[in-house]
Amino acid sequence: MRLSLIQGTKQHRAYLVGAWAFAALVLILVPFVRLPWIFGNPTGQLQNWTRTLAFAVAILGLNLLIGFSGQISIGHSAFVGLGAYVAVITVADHHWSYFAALPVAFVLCFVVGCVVGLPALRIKGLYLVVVTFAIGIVFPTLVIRYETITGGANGKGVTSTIAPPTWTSLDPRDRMDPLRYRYFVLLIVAVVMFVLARNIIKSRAGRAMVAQRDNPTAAAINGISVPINKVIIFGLSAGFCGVAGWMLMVNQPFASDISFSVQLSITLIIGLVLGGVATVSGAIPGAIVVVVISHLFEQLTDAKKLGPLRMTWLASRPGRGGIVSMVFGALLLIFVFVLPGGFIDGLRKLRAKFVTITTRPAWLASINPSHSVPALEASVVATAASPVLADNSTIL
Amino acid sequence: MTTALDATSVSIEPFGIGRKIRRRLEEIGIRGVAVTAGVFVVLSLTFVAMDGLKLYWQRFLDGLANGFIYAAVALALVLIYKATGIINFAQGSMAMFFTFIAWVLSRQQSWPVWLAILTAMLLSSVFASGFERVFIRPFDPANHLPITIVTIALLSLIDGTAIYVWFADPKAFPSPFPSKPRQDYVDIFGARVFYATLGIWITVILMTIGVTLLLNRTKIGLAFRAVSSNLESSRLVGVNVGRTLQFGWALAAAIGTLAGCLVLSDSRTYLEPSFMAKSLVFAFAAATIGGLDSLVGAVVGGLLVGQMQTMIGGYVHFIGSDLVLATTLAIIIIVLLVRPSGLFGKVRVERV
Repeated sequence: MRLSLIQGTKQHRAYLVGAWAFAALVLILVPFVRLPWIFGNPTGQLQNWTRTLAFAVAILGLNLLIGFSGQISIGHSAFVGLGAYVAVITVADHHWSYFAALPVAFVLCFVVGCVVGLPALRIKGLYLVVVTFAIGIVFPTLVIRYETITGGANGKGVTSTIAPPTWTSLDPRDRMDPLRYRYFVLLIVAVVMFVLARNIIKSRAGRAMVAQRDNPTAAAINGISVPINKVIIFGLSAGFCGVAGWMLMVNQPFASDISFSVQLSITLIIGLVLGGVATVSGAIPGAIVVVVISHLFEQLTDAKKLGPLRMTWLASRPGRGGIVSMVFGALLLIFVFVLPGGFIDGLRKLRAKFVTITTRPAWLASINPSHSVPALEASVVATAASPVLADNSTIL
Repeated sequence: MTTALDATSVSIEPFGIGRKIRRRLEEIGIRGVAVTAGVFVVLSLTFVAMDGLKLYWQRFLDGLANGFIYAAVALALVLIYKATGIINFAQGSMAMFFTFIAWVLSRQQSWPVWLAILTAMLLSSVFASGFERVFIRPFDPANHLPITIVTIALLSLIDGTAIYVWFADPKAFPSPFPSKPRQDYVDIFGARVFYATLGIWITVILMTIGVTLLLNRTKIGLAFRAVSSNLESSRLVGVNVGRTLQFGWALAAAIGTLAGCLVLSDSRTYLEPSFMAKSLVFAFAAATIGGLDSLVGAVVGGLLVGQMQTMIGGYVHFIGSDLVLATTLAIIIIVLLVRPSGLFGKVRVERV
């Protein structure tokens, strides 16, 4: 059975609405569904889903930089950390509310990101990678050095959390309800960030960004200020990561130096590639895979939480922590070869087996909105109208 | 991403240290090097005035020992950069893994240390050439993102394997140099220099000479220079590009493994899965400061970074030892802002 749809028709709109409604339903039901034992106890499960939201926003921010503007960074853990410490420090020491810390985290990370991106004006390509690597390495040492503010290696936590207000009729003393409330708050933040990212990419600035990735000289000739573009996009992606850091702190308010090491940057890059380079929606499957895999191996190797799938041979090994890195590395290698476009590309290919959507230019729709286009004309139109810059699958 | 074509890529340049330095000095107009040397001399005089000559001399020699190690790792990074145009993020992990192999051979199989190290170097070359053939060659060498991602995957894979197999507890590595307690140093003008340190200097100098000879006096070295100078042209004149790049990876892996073993010959460092991290960061700094595509730059940069590390940690008290890394990296960013392709790096001209 194959479904054939033409862009802009009622059927196509119904299909889109249905797909979005299904996605929304899944996201809303997540905190109420109990998955099997393997995903841990219900509170742990929900905290992991909330964590996934934060990771998705961080991966999205990194994707703006790596995927859409073509600059590689392995120092974005520093920005996630900066956002997290902004949240923890303002809330714990200055008694701000979490919501007041959110814009501060975004703006501060944006500004720091722009300053860090400034060398990009002069430094090209791989020299910039070294600079970002340096930032990722230096951040934890700064945390240790300014121990009085950051708590150093012992970490810093907050006792107060976001509590559900009375109108939600959620019980603040319940085990699950505050977690559910926080999940929904962070879901709204994440949705806003995703819409923001999508709009940036579809806008003039986003097209300029993709143009300078594909051919900087041609972009410059067409009037794009390549340096300014690069710096702004570096700042933006840092801002997204800052928001992700804030989200992590809302979920589990504790920050220490080791949680924001270069390892986190590598994890984010792995999620990015697994989800799909230069896609907005790829951040979601990427984040899910990264969080779920690291959680699963924690579960499987923890002697107390083994459950039926007992992996005693693994649980007794002191080096079992290495397994997650091994799996990530292997997955990354497999994906780069088998599915370089990531999960999203795989899903698109799968969808193409069942649903064909024929593109239709706007002028045709305005002339004759209700009738379907004959097949031949549609295919011709589709080739003519396929936007040159839309093909992101070639960069990997 | 950058479609950089070398404007000056017509001639294949010799890699010889002497000739290279002379030519570079002519090319870059001696200025960058002169400024660096000037700053170094002025700072040295200040430091001598602060705490006396003896302490300065001791710190200088200590810095030299670190510097030679950074130079060795940087050399490995630069070789891969010249060959493939990417930075191999897995360089440190590969070195760490095969240092573990050397440890297994020497400690658990009780082989002589030097034989163990040489075998580990050989094994690492075999591994690197195999890896290059299977995972790097299928990609377009001009497209850096997938290759960089493959190296990141390799890093994750090797680190995970090392943690799984050998755990995270530190192990003592047998020193390849004489290390009897209280008789393990010589006196050079009042400063104490350990045999291990002396051994590091000699080994790295010999290794650099060896690499230079290999690249200048052999056929595969000529091919390597041709490929790193202009890949397309060398393919047209019949150089087997794949094999040559493979040679670059193998050579870099062997150098990295040797550097890893040298890091551990200092008795204060222990073998554990993350022991290369610090050296790798400073080696990145060294390679960047010297220019990513220059072998001389890697050595000079390594020595400079080694000096920076000891001098900043020793003399500039308000920075202290915690922020040495941050300061070194800040200096590097400043150097890059002034000279975007490093001290000895080739200034690239982009053509549309």
